[in-house]
Amino acid sequence: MPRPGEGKVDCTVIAGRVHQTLSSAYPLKLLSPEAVHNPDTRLIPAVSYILSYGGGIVHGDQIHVDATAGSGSALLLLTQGSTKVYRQRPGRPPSYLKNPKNDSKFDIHQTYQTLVVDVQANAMVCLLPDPVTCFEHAKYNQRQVVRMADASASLVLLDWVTSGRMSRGERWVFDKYLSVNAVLVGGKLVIRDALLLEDARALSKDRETSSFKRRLADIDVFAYLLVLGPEVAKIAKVFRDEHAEHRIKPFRPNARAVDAEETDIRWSVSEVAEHGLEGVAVRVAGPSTEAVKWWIKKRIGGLQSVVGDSAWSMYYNA
Amino acid sequence: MDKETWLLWMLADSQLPTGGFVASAGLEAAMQGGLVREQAYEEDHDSFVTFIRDSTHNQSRFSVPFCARVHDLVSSRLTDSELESKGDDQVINSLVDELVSLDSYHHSMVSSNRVAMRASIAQGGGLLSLFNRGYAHAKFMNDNRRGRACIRVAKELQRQSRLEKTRMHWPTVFGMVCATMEIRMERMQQLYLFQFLRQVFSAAIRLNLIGPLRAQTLECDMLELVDDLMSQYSGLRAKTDTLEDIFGESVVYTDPVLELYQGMHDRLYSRIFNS
Repeated sequence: MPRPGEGKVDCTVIAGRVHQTLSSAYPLKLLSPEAVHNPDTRLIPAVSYILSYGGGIVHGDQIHVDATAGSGSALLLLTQGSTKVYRQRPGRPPSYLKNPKNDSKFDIHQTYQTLVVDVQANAMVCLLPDPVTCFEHAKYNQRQVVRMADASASLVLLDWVTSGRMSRGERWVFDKYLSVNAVLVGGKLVIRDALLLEDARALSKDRETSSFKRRLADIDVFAYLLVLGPEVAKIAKVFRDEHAEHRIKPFRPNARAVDAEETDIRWSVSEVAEHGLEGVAVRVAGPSTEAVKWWIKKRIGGLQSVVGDSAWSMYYNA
Repeated sequence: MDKETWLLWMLADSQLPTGGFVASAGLEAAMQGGLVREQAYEEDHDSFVTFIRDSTHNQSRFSVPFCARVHDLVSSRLTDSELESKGDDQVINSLVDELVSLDSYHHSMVSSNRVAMRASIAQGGGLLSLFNRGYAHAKFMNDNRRGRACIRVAKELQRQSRLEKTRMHWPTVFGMVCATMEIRMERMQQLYLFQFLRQVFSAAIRLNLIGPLRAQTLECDMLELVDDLMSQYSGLRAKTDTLEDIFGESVVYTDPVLELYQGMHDRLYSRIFNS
């Protein structure tokens, strides 16, 4: 039996069919709609939704998901709506949320979400959640590690965060956002991207140095995207080509952007080549979830032919 | 005069031949991308100051804890008593392995930011070669057992990086060189931030963003910033051993926008810096 907040997704391909086993315990819920296998795709797709009861997580929640994509499978991990991180609840979390395993490890006044993904040889995982939205005073720790068996495994990982409940005028007013994305290939750590947004302690003489709200004043959404491995080489190329074509001319305050729709999007692409694993890392900043979502969707459309129409539409049409 | 002060003056010299003058730490891209406005002084008084504050803050969480970890490691391994009890070969070999593994961890933190990675490897290599060809021949390194062991460590690291068995990133080499020359922890951390600031200021002058006199004024004001960052973060050490360390916040970056703009550097239509 999984402990509170824990869940497991296992994808195995047996005799040309994908078998998915799921288990999860409150407040976490995993759901797996069937994705039709289009015989044109080499990998067999499977989809899992990572959900939480109440549509968000609170302090004291310690979500932990283990996911494995077996050889020959393409596992899409999705959410339904943004991951909302609510502010601290008064007092201690109820005992039914207690996971004794984490007792000494975690601070009960913060929220933790851990995802441990194994991608076997010739398999793929696409982690394409909606963005994280931290409410005022929330303290959130997101910890994701992807262990790729070798350079034949593939990965698409999207990690993004919004400024908060923009409709209520809350912008960058949470207390803490820590997001770590680590990628291992054959047991060797090759990427560790760790972003911390947290204001330094108040006794700082120089308040100016410590405010992430000011640092991020011009944007409302920041996304980090990894596109790695042989199955998604074509998608990596889309970004590479764009990088090669779109030179940046010296800034002019009144210059008109060529592509008006994407005026407010800032992006950069970095080549990644580690331990035989190749691809790109993309960073995108924009003024709204919709703008950034659309910018990304438009460029990763090549996934459709990798995972098939059925699985693709669950992501694309969401 | 004491040796430490003398060496600090040398290391703080803008003529230090490590190749730092080709790096702008993302400033050139930030300027061309519109984050830092040209004619900062008249039109938008603060955008350059904001940039330099944010990027220094970022350094104090991203690189300095790493240097500090390396400094701790080298200082604790290369002592006369360790060398006496375990023998030079064993101490040197195991320290080299530990430094290579720390460097590889640091590599994973810049491996998805090609521009930063390139700058870090270039400057790290520059300093390591400066140590081996310069400081390693100084009297104070050669007239004692510990100094000679330091030289062997640095030589071996350079050999391995030539064979591409390791890179040698800037924070790794910086921490190692300071520790071997017995520059104290706190001094090293201050020097790291000073050098970083000075490099950005010198880039700003060459980019015509500010004049040399205003640069001096601003540089004075940065003392408060560095003191503040030191008081908050000088105790941080990069923890790299377990999965919880990887998930932890001992070494992080704090400015995603800066990271993004730095990544745009290679897309600049015309540029004078390498990063």
